[in-house]
Amino acid sequence: MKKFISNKYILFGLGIVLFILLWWVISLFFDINKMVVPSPLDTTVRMFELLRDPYTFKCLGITLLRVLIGFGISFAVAFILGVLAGNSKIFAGLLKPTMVVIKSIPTATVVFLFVIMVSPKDAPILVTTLISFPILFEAVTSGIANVDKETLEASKVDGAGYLKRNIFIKIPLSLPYIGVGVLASFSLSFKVEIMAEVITGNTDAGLGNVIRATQGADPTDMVTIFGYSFIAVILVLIISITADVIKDKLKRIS
Amino acid sequence: MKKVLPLLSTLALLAGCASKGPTNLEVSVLCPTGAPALAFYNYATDTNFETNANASEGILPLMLKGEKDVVILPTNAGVQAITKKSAPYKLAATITFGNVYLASTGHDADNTLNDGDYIILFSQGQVPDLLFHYVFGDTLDSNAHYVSNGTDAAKCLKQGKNITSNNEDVDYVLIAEPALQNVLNTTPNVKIAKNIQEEYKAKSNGLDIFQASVFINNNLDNSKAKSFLKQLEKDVKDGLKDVNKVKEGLAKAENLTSKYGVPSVEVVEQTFANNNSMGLGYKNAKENKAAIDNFLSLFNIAETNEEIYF
Repeated sequence: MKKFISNKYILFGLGIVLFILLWWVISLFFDINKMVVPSPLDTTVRMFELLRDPYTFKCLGITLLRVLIGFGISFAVAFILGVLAGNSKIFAGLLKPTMVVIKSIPTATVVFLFVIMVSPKDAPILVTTLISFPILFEAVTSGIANVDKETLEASKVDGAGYLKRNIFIKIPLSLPYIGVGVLASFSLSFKVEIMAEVITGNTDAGLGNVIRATQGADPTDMVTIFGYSFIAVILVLIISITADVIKDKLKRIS
Repeated sequence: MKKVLPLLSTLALLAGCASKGPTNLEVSVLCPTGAPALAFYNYATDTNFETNANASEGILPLMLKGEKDVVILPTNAGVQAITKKSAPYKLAATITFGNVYLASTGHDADNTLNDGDYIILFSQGQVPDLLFHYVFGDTLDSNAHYVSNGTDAAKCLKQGKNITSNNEDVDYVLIAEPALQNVLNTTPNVKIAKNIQEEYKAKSNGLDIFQASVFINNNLDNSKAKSFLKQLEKDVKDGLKDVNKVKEGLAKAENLTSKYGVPSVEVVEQTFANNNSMGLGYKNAKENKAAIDNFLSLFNIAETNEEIYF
């Protein structure tokens, strides 16, 4: 029984049940005409209605594409700089103040800045890039810096140069660190993208845009807003679980 | 990296161009969602017609950069952008003339608006609040309570209670269209108590609220600008004469709520039938300088100079 309960997937399932129960209890107190916190049932019904509309999938696709672009740019830059910083304490030290600033700057400020610099349409992509960058950078840096010293010494003895050590030893061994960073920052990026879409006010397809439009057109319709949000949550959940399963399989193989 | 960058650029291009399509507008237009956007009902799928839900964050910066041929903005914001920040635009026309109402929840025992009634106002210091106080002064302020935005005001009206505070019974709520029509459709007790536009007009010797206006980029060819304004005036007048034209145009939008900020074609039709409660119209700005100055005085903006007019 104890083994059954401690299985991480069973625990995850129980956690979901607990969350829905908590949500339901909160909605009992705050579900004033479905205007504040709608119940899980109302939200789920509305979510399925929304999923019947092709526009919902367009919004989901465009938001996901924007996240992937922003995240992709961020990952590429973070990977290069992270490998360099992981190998050089001086380089890491030089970049530290920049990372602190990026991490502490209020996201809303960044949104306004990018709206002026680029456009309301493209600003969320850059916001996503900037917000996920420090997490990815730290993940890569820590991964590279924490590779087992004995393995590195052995590779040096075998004559592996700087480039070979990084490509064949450091980067592969730091993959678990990078994986955790990617997982943590991807769901954050998704949330930030939606929030940035809401703030910029752009009216093209996008989950944040459609959430804001729903709220603007009918401020009392919280069920639809929760429905869209629930779709976003489920998508991130699916991505996280898939990434978790892949990570487990990779661990077993290695 | 060399291979990654072109790939990312292509993806960015794909994301940016996802909604590109045909255009009938010769000029690029950026307009806030809501009542002003309805004037452009003929351009629902036109790529030269863009809307944005946040006038101050999404439109104003682009106006300051002079990126669009035509921008529509609240008259006060646009005029201040020209006079204080040298935005390269001129004020040409006004297309919305107020959409603010005081609605009754049905809780007021004597059914008469007077001091002491529980009134909900929203967006303190912004247009709806300024209009309310211009009309009523401080005569109704003793039991007036602010909520942060129109969304909360609509919720309070629907519920008949101040849901942002102690759930106290509310008598009247200041609210804007189209949120009002939405509540009217679902809450039978709610009635319009005061039309702020009419009250404003009565207090201003017949002058209207010149709320949202059309600003033309200084670099736009004069004949193009004139032809655009002529067409816009015709569209607005045609739409007000025959709501079916508006309905047909809006029905082409991929997502009406996102693009125009209105819940449905039916609600638009109802507001048109309800004495044009969204306040759509078209008036030349220069010919109505006195009315514009009167409206701008609410914001303590000095009398406008002739030079800012198109």
